Amino acid sequence: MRFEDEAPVGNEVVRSFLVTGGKASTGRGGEEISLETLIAPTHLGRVERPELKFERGQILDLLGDAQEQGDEMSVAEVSAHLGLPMLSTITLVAQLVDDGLLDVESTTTTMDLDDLQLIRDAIAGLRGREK
Amino acid sequence: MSGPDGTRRTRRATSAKLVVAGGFGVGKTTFVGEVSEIPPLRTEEHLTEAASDHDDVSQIDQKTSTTVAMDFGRITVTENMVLYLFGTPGQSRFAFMWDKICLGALGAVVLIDVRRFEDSFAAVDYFESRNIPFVIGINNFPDSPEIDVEDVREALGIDKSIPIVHMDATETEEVKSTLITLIDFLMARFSTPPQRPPRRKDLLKR
Repeated sequence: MRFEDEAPVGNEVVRSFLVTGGKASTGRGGEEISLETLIAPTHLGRVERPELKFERGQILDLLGDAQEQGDEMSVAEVSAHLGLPMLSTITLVAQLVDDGLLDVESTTTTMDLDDLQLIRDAIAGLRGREK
Repeated sequence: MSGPDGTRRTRRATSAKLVVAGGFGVGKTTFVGEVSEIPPLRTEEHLTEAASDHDDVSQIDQKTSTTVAMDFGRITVTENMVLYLFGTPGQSRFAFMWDKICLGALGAVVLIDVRRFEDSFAAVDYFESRNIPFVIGINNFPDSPEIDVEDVREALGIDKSIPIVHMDATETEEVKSTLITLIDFLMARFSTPPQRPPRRKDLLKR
């Protein structure tokens, strides 16, 4: 087998299992990581971050920039901005949470009638995106 | 969310999601784009070998298709709440990723092109089996035949409690109205907890 024949040059041809170091599961922190979960670097991830290679480093960089801008960012947005497959992104984010480099910033569990009313009001008030 | 100086908000934010499902070309991305406050973003996933085993390629020309794209948008509800809209490919060959996309969703809109009902069967089945509440949006294309919602209900074999609306995914107001139909449906479930809808009849099995 000649790996160099299949060797990726850019992210777009990296196989998912390579990106995640061969891990198929999402690790200990993975259960609460969904596409809509908001995440941000911890103090460790921001200030004392270890040298991280490739995608893990890119994720921390992207989220660090977003944090400086005051922007919230979800796993799905990380996936889109970095061009990483969504399931791999969930796995990588879960690993970074496990490693104490990322914080989970949002909960997705509680949604009561008042919350739904807020969502309804927000949708009703939308004016549509400038095209 | 923590700020640059390390201070933290006292309350944790809430993020929620809605799913817009349907077959290829039914208008999911258009729908999401009409109400998203950001230009829709695209995330991708690769079809795995395992998924290919169950892949029904009989009806697609491109047999080597290995990547599926999903577009999504976001709506800021309040300072502490953000809502994501995920457009989900509805074909059964993408079922391997539905759980990751859909579990935890507040609800779903299943978009239908009446010229291709069959493209929506898998999505309807999926949301029913996971007990994720959904409404049906009949996306009216310029050359769509006129069709009564009750005929659509019969064709899809769905319970009479589930709202079905005609809409145009290129019209912001109609997309909003469809989403509000879904939210009203969710809110109504709070006051009258629904019985699990009856499973669809065997006649719809393919």
